[in-house]
Amino acid sequence: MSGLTVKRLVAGYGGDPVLREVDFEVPEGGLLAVLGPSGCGKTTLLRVLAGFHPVSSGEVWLGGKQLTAEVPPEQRGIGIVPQEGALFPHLTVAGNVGFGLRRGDRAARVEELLELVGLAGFGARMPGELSGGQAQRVALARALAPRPGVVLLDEPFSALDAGLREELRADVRATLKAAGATALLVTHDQEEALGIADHVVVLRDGAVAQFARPQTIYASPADLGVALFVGEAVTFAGVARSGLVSTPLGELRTSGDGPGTVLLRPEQLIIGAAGVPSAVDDVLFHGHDATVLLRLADGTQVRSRVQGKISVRAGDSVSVSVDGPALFFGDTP
Amino acid sequence: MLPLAYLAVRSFERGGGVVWDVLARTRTAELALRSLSLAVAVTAACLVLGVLSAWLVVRSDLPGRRVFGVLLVLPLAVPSYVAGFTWISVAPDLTGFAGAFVVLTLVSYPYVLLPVAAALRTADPAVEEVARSLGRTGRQVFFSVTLRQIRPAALAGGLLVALYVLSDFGAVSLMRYEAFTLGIYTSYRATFDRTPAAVLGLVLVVLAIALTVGERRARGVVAHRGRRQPLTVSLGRARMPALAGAVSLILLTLGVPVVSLVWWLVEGTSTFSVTDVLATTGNTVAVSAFGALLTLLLALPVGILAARHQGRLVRGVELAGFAGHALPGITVGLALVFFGIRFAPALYQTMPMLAFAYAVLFLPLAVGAVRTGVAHAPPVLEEVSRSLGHGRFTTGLRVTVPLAAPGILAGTALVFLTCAKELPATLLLRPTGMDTLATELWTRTEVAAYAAAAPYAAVLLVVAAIPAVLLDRFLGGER
Repeated sequence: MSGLTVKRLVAGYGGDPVLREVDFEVPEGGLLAVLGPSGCGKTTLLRVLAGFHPVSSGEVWLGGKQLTAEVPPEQRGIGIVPQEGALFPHLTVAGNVGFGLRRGDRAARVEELLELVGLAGFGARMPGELSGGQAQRVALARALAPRPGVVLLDEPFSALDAGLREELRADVRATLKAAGATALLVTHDQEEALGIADHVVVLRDGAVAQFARPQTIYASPADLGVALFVGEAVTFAGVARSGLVSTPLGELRTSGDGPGTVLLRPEQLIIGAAGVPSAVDDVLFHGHDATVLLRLADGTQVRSRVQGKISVRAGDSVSVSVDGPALFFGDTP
Repeated sequence: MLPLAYLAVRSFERGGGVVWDVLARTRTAELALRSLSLAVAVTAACLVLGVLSAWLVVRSDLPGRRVFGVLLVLPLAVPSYVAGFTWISVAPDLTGFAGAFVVLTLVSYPYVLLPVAAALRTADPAVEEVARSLGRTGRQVFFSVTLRQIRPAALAGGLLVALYVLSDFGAVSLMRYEAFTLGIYTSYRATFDRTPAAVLGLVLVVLAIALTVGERRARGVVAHRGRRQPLTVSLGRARMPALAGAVSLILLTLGVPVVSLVWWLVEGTSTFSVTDVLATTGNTVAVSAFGALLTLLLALPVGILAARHQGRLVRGVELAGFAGHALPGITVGLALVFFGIRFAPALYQTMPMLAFAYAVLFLPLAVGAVRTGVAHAPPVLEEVSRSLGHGRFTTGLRVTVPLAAPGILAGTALVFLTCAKELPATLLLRPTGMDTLATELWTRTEVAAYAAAAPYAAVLLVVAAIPAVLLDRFLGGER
């Protein structure tokens, strides 16, 4: 197995291309998430890589071999895990997992994979008897069985309940790492993309808006659009001058110069003794943390993310300060 | 479409004047009026019977409603001329409008029952609960909410009934009710001038198409799907009357044919020869198998296209499905007679010609089956197979065929059995000297040889019951 490289990839359905000069690479054994809203070209990207949709221009390399249009899907060594699994309904779990294997070592490899995805002993079941999460595990095992160069996962958790989704996400990451597989996962869920992958490609209108580690994407988004897409934000219009910008929350440290948008993450807003006065409009409790809606003196409402015990209630008067520098995106003239 | 176009050409061949003459005859208006009044009466009766029985089977606590669910659908399988034969042989006075009305209502109300039952099963029960919580009584909810939810299904079923009645030949001819189809046949048989028959055939098609379009306009939005089991309403004191009603409906629809047949079979053992019946059955099987295969061959490409591509084609296929029901067998038969005599005299009154008529008549049925079958093998499964290293051919063999075949085979079987029951086109197009079960039954009933007709009716009834059971199993699977 080895890495996947995509160079200046263009593809579409006639008319304007859906993918415009897409570049990224996944190192061997790496896990890349392609994050974007629906309609950004994620699905087309997967279909192009798997060989189900033609490339208009650009290159796809897998393990030092170029995958041109002449390489049909069955000779690419690219496994796919479609949405909701798409198990063969007429085959047992073992039949599904063994579908891409040669007869010789089939049984042993099927056992090995079912063990890997935590479904040892499920081989004789039919797909209809599985839960959504189990079906996804079988679909992953089926894709991994022939030791593909890369596995493509298409929104693999979208049909699952929230709790199950988190659990399966961790399991899938562990399974892929244990199998040493190179993988590419597409999703519209930023939490999922940031939480599971080594690297993230943010795809917007068919072009790569940013390609970086999850932490980098969150902390230093390439532009305002990416910043707003990958997490909750508090924004103000402002003019930055020599590393400072004036906002309703006071003078904040920032970078950049000139007019633009100041962006803070809700967890940077600290409720405490110091800072500007504000009133608590409401508290939205999430269990592990809470969002406090604050009304500032000038009437704007901002969100603060508070960990641990919540000591404020609606109607309280509090002070709010800002932790760390603010992001700043200059207006494009 | 070609034979129909030719029918139009043939009608106008001798100038618009002749066509106008035929249309302007009082007899034409009479025939149309007779057919339409029969269609209206039967449809109304079927809507009442169908909606009531569907509600009883799906939504009430009627004892044994599962059994009733199967038994109430079975009459669908009884060909109208078999039902007509059994009724007229026990009650020879029941002829004309009344006879045709009774027989057609009793065999076609399941066309309403089936879609309405399906709609009742899938309707979202939450909507009714909301209506109750807003202060409506159970009865008010039935009229203001439930009936609205099932309206599209009931109208679609009603359309099928109306089309069935318009194109029915068997029951009206046995009941000697001069409806359009019988008028066409008589006119075709009676004179050498076949233009009137062609014109009348066209008028029948126009009537059917007008009905289809009208129903599409009136149908409205299809109800949303619910995920829960439908609510069950307790019948209370109405339980026994409801049970009696359901039982007597089954007695009328199934009891009369079976009892009458058994009686004639016992009574007339000496008057028929087993070899004749066997030979006729053989003929029927041969021609139906031929017809079913040809239909399947023609349906495969269309059905696969329709299943794999969205948009206009699919809507076209759906419309063709209704048009298929709208095409009366008598018209298709007639069209092929003209077409055959003119362009393919070698094929006229041969098996291939008859098989082709079946293909024209039942293509929509087969296309629907192929489409459903192929839909069981969605493209994503083929893609997964390709990505696992299997080429197009192996993928087809290991994924597409195993998944699609059961549906396609069941559909072909259905076409086969439908061919076996077909009467009017077979009457017109069968090779000279070759009789099928349907034509034998018809000929013998025409001359009141009821005992001699009974064995053919019995075999037909068995043949006909098979798809009804299949149909119920398919609908059951979708629950």
